[in-house]
Amino acid sequence: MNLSFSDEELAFAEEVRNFVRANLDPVTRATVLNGKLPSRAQRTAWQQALVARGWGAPTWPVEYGGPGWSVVQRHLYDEVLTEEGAPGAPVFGMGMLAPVLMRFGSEEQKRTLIPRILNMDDLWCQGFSEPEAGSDLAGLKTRAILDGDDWVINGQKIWTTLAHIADKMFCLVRTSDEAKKQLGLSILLVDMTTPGVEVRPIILIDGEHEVNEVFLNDVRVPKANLIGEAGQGWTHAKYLLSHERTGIARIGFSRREIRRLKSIASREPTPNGTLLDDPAFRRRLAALEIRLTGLELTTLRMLAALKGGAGPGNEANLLKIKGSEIQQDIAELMMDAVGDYAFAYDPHAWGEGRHDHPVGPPEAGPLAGVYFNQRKVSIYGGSNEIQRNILAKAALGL
Amino acid sequence: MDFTLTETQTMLGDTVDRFLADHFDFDTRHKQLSAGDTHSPRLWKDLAELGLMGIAIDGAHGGSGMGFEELAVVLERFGGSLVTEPFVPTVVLVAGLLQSCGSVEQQQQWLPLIANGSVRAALAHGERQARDALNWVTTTAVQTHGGWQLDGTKMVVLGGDVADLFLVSARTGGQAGDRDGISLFAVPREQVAANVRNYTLYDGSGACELVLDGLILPADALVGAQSDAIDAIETAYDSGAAAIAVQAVGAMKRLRDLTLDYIKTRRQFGQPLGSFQVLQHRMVDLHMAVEIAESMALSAVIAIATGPDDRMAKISAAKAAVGQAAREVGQSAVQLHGGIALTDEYAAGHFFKKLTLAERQFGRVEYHLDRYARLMKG
Repeated sequence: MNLSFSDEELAFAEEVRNFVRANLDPVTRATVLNGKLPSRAQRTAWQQALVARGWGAPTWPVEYGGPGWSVVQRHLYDEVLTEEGAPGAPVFGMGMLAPVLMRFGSEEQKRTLIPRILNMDDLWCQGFSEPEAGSDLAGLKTRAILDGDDWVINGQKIWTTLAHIADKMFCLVRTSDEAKKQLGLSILLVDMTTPGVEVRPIILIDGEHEVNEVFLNDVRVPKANLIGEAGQGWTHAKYLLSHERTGIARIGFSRREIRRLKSIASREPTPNGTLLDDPAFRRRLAALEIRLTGLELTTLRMLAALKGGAGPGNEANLLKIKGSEIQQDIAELMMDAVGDYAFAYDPHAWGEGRHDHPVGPPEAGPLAGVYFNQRKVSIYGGSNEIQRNILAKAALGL
Repeated sequence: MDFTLTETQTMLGDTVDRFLADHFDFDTRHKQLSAGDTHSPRLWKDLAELGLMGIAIDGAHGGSGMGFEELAVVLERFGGSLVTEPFVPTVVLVAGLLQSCGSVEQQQQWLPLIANGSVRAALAHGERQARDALNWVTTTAVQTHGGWQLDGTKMVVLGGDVADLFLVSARTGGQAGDRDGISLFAVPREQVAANVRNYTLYDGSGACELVLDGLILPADALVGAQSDAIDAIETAYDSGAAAIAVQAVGAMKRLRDLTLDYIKTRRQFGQPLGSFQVLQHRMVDLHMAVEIAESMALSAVIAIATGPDDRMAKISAAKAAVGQAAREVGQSAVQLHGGIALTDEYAAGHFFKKLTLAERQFGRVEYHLDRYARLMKG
């Protein structure tokens, strides 16, 4: 047994780090490190830099432009990019839709759509959740009816992340009524500029615009935009969501945030020195860091078990639960670290065009907002309770 | 990055599994403990014949010269079968200390006897007031007539009830709480027999109180450099913490399987307990705790085997994490079972008792959290 990375793996991580430092725009980096959403232009510029280096799609097979890395290399790559403040990969297109297209899509879909995902010519969003279909996703009501050469869609999607800047949406819809509700579903690919598509913002409690409602009124979509066969949507969706959960432990993100937390605490004065010297605070921090180490080792242990090409199994559910809990607890401790200055509501305390100084230390402004926002991570992608249901059934046979 | 066991390690694990299944099942253990025995000389001899006592002792002293990774393979299985033998005190603590700081003569005298199973040994270090402070030694050793005189009391000496050899810490300089001034002495049982009080612990293993009342030892009883034993003792306790963490993981895995099996079988309200979501989620939490604990115990094993600069931080992280998991898993398993887990005739309660002690031995969660917090970078 050897729990250390090999010299080759460490050299690889160093190569990635050097590349990011040389090529990532400092403004983009600062945006990400302050917990803000990078713009479309910032995302595209970074993705194109990665594509030029051959690293645009680390999880894809080589024939689609993947680099052919080992699971450990992929893990290190993710970790370094996150630590260095790079914008996240376009998760909906690259991480979710593309694997489904590779497995179930038509040759035409593969040929036309996958390269555009890689180059971020298309930014995708995911039309799954509905007002009456959250955890009970198969209960969705948005319906598509075949009319000549088109599917005609009517219904409403909600919590659609980035729909306001996306070009396209993959949309889970009901195409027939079956006794088992999972059987009548299909995935349709929708251009967001199609007449009848209306996006309305949902402002979250941190003041950010990240998610949306998407209304679909007589939206006509060509027949060729169906993935696979009608009625197979649930199979496709499950495959797609299993990809959403890999990397969801977000180890690199949490490592970065703990480092930032220590840096913030070292600048917070207390009656006896700095907060970082305070034994009670250090103990809370220590407990978090130890939990993160446990999650990281478990992730690596499970990655090793995947032995390369195998698809993600039930272990991803465990990583999602534990990873989200740690992210949330870090956000909470970070908010606590700046004391009462965390309470000042100033959602635009950090951002381009802001020239006055927000109240309190410069890093304090966004921290409570991040804490509020991070409550989402135990809800999205299948709530942690749904994850436990899946583990109970699939891993424990209950 | 490699989590696979070597062929030797896999074979070792299979051997121990088979042996314990044949010779130390739950009923056998229960009979032995009911008779009041913490230790079975027969079992000890058999384990020695399998080569387990000498795994980490070098070939020149009758061992096979492997390391802590191989010891861990054995320890996990001992934890899983709730073995009560003084394996950790003898093989991990005392054999380890003799190898790291014993004289050539001491090594030649004791290590072959440990390796062949003729000697059981214990480390007598803990004292009443010390709690978790390893440098709190009030027992004194004074030079006298070319030898040493020891006075003091050692508490809850693991394996001490059957130990043939004690390594006793005593102060040869400085004051309680000083790092300098602590020395180790080798004390054969016959020299202290009248002052040993034996008792059984809740996990079925044995211990003793050791009263040193003007004990006279020869000059060559000193083990290692005079007044300079604290680093060796800390290293031994870190090895003990890793060993107990691995044992706890072995126990947790068995208890998880037992609990899962039980809630699939036991029916209430006309259906298996495991069909209730509230119990499913509790079971999933238990399962996740075991998985994370296993990862952390592995990191402790590697830290002892490779001895990195940050060994203490790694051990504390692991012991704190495994300790918390031991508590969660033990308590949840009892709750998921219900009253049956509190009965002496059923295994779950015995795992719970083992895990409760393991959580606390070689440093409680709070101690290791604090030590980690002190050592933490940044």
